[in-house]
Amino acid sequence: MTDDLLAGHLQELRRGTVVMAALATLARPTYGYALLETLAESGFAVDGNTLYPLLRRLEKQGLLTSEWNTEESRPRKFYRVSPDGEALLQELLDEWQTLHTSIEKLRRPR
Amino acid sequence: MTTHSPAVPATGRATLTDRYVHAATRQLPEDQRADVADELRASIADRVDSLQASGALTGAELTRAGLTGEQAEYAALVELGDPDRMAAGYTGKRLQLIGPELYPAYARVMKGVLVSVVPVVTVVIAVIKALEGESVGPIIGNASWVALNVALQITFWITLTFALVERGSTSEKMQESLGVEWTPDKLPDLPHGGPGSLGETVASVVWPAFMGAAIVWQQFRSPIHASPSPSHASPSHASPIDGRLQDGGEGLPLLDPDLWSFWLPLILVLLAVEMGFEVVKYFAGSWTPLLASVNTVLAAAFAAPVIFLAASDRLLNPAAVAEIQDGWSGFDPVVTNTVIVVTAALIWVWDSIHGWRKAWLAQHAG
Repeated sequence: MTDDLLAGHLQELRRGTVVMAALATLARPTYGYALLETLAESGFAVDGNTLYPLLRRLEKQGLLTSEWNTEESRPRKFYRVSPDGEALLQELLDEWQTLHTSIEKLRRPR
Repeated sequence: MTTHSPAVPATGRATLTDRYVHAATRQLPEDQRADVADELRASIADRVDSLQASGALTGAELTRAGLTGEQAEYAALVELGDPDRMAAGYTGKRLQLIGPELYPAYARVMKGVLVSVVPVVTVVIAVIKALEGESVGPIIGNASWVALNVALQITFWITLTFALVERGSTSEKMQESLGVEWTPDKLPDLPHGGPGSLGETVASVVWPAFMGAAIVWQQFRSPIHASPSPSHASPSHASPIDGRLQDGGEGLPLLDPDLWSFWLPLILVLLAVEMGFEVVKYFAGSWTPLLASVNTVLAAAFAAPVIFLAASDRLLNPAAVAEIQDGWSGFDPVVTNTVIVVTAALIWVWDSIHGWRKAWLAQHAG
């Protein structure tokens, strides 16, 4: 198996987990760029041009709330997960567990 | 870093960031634009600071610590990428002319219409021009020009229609109304036996053999016979072969006997090669891109001399033409040549496409 092949499949697998990672991180209010760096450090490499629109979309869906923080020299928009977002994260994590269990079962049938 | 004020500076030159933010947000609804712009500006500024502070890896290239503000800004914008893509992320617009949902129907309709309309229109134009008494050159030119234009028009309008459907909200309903929805009825027939089919191979071998036999036959047993008038049995066309012939039966070969010096043997050789190719194909078992390429080249090698000879009016025996015209004054060698040229070209195109289609089917048969 080549590195490229592995990288391609890992990227494919992680793509769907960015929302989970973002919702999990945003238990603490965070602004866009800081979230980007946090996610990158944890192995969720996501581009700004994906993440920034994604945050807006999640906010529109009521999964995040946002607030401008103007106390520092640079005003930044801080996002935080809403109760709906927390519920969704829980659903996603449950599904994640289910998937994991199912795959383990498939690997060792009977 | 003083260039990144939250608002666009009223005076002075706009920075790259200002221009980027404008490009990325101008399509947003009025009520969101300023908010998104401010956030994006802050995100860019954060990235610029980070680049300057750390000399982080950006893309493939390592940026050294100690970038100037402008260099860092430039690098940060490169990372963010095309602002239109960013804008599409915010608006949810699709970044595709025709997406994967519609593409199969699009390709199917496009192929179907092109394949059915363009050849017909081309032949019709060629025939009309031939009936109008045009010579071969203008007929080919005219028909090619019309074919090109018809193909362009078809391509444009079908693409436009599907692009509009793609942008419509009820794409499925539109697909239904266009009648392009896929159903199992649309499944193409199985390639019957593929190249390994013995029947097809036999037919493909018999056909060149038949052609070759016809070429030889018209030389020795031509149905056209010279009238007693000596003017038609012109000695200028007496080659060793037809000299011997005309002694016996007064048969006038349909094809110019002068061609036996080079062209007709070449065509016979090509026919033999074609037969050999059919056998090779049979044993190869399945069409491949290589076989399809060889097929295209072979077909071209056969079509080119025929087209060339017909187009330059060297194919038909002038004596035979004169003889036919004696009996049927309306016989026009130009029309005959045109029909030969068009037919040879169509056969070449069809044969090539046939080979490539089979190769494609063989490769995508799963």
